[in-house]
Amino acid sequence: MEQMEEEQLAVAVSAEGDFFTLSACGEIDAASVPVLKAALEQATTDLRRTVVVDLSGVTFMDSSGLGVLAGTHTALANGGGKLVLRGGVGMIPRLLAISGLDRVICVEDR
Amino acid sequence: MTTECVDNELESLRMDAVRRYDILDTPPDRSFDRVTALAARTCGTPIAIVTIVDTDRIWFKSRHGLEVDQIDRDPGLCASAIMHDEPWIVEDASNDPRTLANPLVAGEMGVQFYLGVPLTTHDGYNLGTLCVLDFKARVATDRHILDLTDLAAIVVDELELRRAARQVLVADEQQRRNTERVARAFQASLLPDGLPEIDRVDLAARYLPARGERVGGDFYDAVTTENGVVLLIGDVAGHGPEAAALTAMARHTGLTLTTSEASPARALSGLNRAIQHRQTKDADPRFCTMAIVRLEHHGDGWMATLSLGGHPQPWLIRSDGTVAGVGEPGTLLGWRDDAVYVDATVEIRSGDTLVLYTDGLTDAPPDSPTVTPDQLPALIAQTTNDSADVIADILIETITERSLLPRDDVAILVAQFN
Repeated sequence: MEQMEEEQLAVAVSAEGDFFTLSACGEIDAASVPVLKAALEQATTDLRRTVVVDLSGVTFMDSSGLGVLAGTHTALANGGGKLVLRGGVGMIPRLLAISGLDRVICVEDR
Repeated sequence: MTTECVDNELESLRMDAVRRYDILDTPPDRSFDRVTALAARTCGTPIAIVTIVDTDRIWFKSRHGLEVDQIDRDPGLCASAIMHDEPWIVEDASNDPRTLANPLVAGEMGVQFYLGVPLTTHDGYNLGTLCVLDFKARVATDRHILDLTDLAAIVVDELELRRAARQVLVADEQQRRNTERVARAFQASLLPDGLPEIDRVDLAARYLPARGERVGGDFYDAVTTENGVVLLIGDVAGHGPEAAALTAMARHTGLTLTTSEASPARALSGLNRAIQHRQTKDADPRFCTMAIVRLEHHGDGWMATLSLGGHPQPWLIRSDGTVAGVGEPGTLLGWRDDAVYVDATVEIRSGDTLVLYTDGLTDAPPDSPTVTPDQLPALIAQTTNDSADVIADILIETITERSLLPRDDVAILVAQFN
């Protein structure tokens, strides 16, 4: 378990075989999105993996976060892997619906 | 008694050099204090000083064994030492015609021994001295002179190093300012110069940049067409030059396609492909959201056809105060080949208001103010003059109540139909 931290966003990465789980906690915006990106890059060194991004601790996300999730989904789908979004409270489900992400990326309830 | 004739021109160049290092009246500094401590120990004197000779004073950057910060620029000691490129040696000051009158010698302090080496810059200006002083007469050995000369060179190197570091900082700051200036100009070019005058439609737009003055982000536009008007608003993820380039491309391509294609949904499909084409393997993909509304005259009112690409639903505020989000969700632009965009049509009547916005208005971190659709009737009821401008101002005031710029950009385009 490795912890990557910035004031407003923390992403914990845990791995079990080819199954990576990223638990994001805090706010994802243009300033903090590099933290999420770095964690996703670590999780997607092999694109055949299943990467779960747990958004249940995320209180805010803007288009920068959406962009990174959309890009990661494409990379994993092309590489034979899969991106799964989990949880998501408050504004997150609405954001995923507005952007159409929830119709393309698998979204699990907790 | 020896008197120095100060060459005014040379002195003015020397003072330019002193100012260049920006050292006068700076706080004490351990690097220089180490040098004076070492100089005193090496030469066996109670006092060692790094001095900088200003126009009318001698200021001490570092002083070991002395409680004074500066003295007048009287001839005899440091003031004379900087006039020569050789070490300035006074072995018995009270019997030396050069120093008899110097206050440090004649006064209470009673300095008897002085050995000073000029701090000579690489281009030959003597800024001040590294000097050692004693209250008793003594002989300056070659060893002491050599050691002090080396230590003086260290002081000058340190000064040069700091100046170089400062120049880098200044250059960085200059660079940053230039970038910001370009960014602001670029940002201005991303928004239309003004909104068109349209019969029976009152338009107003607002744009609030996110904190930190980063270019890119939100955009809007409104243009008249043969039989109506097109409104467009959008959001490009991220900031910086690449985001700004996509912003410009999306706005112009979106408008062009809306006038040439059969419907806003068709225009978004075309734009989706155009943005996908721009994505390169080497860079992170960039996406965009957009809402396009095409308004055409329809009887006494208007018929709106709108389509959304990953963008939040515009609000339609009816004349009776009810608010509804309009439009069907569509996929983020530039992301997928199989993206779906749907046209929705809605009849607009006199007295209705359409509000297009970006998500900075409705979504913010938990501690920041936002506007939600259910707040709208109450917000708008505050005013009797609900022109497009007034409504736009109310929305902006609501999210800037603590006079902070928002975390994300906010763009608002309000159309009121009469």
